[in-house]
Amino acid sequence: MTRPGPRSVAIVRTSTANLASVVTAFERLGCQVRTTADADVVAKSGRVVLPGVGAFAAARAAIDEGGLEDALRDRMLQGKPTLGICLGMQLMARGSEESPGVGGLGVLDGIVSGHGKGQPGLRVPQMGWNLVSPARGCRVVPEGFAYFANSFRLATATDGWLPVWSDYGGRFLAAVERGAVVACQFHPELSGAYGEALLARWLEA
Amino acid sequence: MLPVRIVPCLDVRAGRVVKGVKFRGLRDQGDPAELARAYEEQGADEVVVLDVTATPEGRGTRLDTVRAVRGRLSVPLTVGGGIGGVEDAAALLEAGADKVAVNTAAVRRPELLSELAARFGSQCVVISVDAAAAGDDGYEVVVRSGTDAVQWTRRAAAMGAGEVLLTSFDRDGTRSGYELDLIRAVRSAVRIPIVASGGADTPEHMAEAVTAGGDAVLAASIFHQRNWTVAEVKEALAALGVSVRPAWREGTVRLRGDRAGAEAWR
Repeated sequence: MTRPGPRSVAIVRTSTANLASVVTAFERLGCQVRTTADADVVAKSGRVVLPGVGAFAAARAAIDEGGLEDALRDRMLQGKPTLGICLGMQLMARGSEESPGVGGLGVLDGIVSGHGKGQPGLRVPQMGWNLVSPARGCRVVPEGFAYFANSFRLATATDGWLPVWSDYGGRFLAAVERGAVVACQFHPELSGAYGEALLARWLEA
Repeated sequence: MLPVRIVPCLDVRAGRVVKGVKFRGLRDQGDPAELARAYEEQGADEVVVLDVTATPEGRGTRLDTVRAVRGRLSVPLTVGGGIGGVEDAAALLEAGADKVAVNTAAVRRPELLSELAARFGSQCVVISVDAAAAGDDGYEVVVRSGTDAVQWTRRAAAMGAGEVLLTSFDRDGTRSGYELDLIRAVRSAVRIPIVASGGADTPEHMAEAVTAGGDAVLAASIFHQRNWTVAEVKEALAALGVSVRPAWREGTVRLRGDRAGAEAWR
């Protein structure tokens, strides 16, 4: 019997920003990490992370440039272990008010919209730690405080996906999970011990 | 409103943490990565690293520092000091920063803020404002005399800054409390989050800064000199009715602002 080697994780390069934090977080958990923009790698890797910060349209353009759309959507629909983070979660929706006319992967229902419309007292971006509350049955995302840095978010659940809710001037989707396919609006890689526990659970999912 | 963020600040020169008074008389305070890790374990909600020398030849050292801190830190990291252009910011983000704080270069060329926001997103762009009292005329930005600090912050937010690191030059390192009128004035001018900085000595000072409109409170001296741990600050703030992020333990979530949750960092 051979012992399993270190778990490998492929992280999709959608932009330069924040990649180091995601890479480091998985390395701390003993993973072998590589970053990629190759559709074949995205299709065949055991575990894929779709991070993202910045503008919706720019990240979408990065996905198109690498021809990654089908590989990403297929593995999400087939239940292969995939983790979307922040903009990576928003890219799974149908589109975003941030970039009208630019489509998302359409794995999740709804259109991403802005925080704090008609609420001038609400700080935008949402920047800081917010309490997230998973629906009964969630196995990857625990209840706790997670770190958010976002101006846009999804506010509607999708059938077949377990919702994790949070509140910021109204209820929004902090995360969703369906088996080993998980998407977080917050940054588990920046959420201290809470985030580390979440990533460890996803590696077991 | 979110729990107030407690933000230890590491002023770094040549790879070491230093601290002075009103930006002068710098003394060694320790290793950045070690301190950052210790503060996270005490409950820090994020960490700021400011390169206080920020010379062109020091850029390689600064990237090494950011990499070392990132390797130990799993909460957000803001890095500032000597960011002259988009490529400087890209190098810092690649090394492990989550946000970049720009100061002088943005005052000289405000378009830098929109360039950074377009490439990395506003949530990545912090405008660092060092404000000094200018008699009856409010506060001026230290780097270029005569610029009104409140108007400048408003403009910076409109250009794409997603947060303001608001430092009172007069209070820096003095431990005489935050400049509350400055925080109030900026709060009424922008809706981006404010990180209050300069003058912290006690949790009461921090509570005052929150009441004045701060979303996060930055402090350096009181943590480096071990007058307070972050955990003690959180416990004291919770007792004052300020909501803070509690420690997380598997299966136990405590409500925000709960004193026991704040104590759990110990």
